[in-house]
Amino acid sequence: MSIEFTDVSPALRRIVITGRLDVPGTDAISTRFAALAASPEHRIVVDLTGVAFLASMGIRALVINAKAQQQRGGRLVLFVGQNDAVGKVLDATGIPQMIPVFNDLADAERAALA
Amino acid sequence: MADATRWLHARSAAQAVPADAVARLDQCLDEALANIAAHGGDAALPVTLHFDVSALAGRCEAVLVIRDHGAAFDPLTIEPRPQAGSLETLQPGGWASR
Repeated sequence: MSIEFTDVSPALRRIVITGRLDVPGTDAISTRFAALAASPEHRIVVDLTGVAFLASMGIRALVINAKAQQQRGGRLVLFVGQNDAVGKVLDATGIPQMIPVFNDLADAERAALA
Repeated sequence: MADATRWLHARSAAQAVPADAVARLDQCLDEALANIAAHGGDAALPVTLHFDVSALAGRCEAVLVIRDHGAAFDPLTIEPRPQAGSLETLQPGGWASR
């Protein structure tokens, strides 16, 4: 389980999560994820292309951080690339209607900054 | 919980269970164990797992049984939350996030 970030620009941060976002995996990254996603200067793209498994605890972490960004006037979007395992779980739970989900990184970055 | 996941994957590999079926079983196992930990606590222990693959009339079936000792309840008596219309009103949990 790992979580890394790149400040793509002064206004945009990409957070890259890899591994299993199940209960233990989400526990392992949740504090750092919240800290990285709480930046008041940055809009956030969360890169889930390296996530092998997404459970409800992982979805919960995504929702909590997306809501926190929105409440401070920011925006958090998700980039899944061709990760069908994660895309199917997001679709099944209705998340794309709440948090924008993109297959293309450039689209995700544009949406985050819009 | 990580041990249970490894156990499921090892048993599935030994029985050549297809990857998409393993992924569904993995989801069920993780969610069930998370619920037991969240709602059952120590009173729900021990938790026992049973995994079986069978072939009947040309149809293969994998069965994963997760049994705990927590207090029983009828999930159909729980009123589902109304579906959230926006991120502001979305409350994660319950029957998926809808």
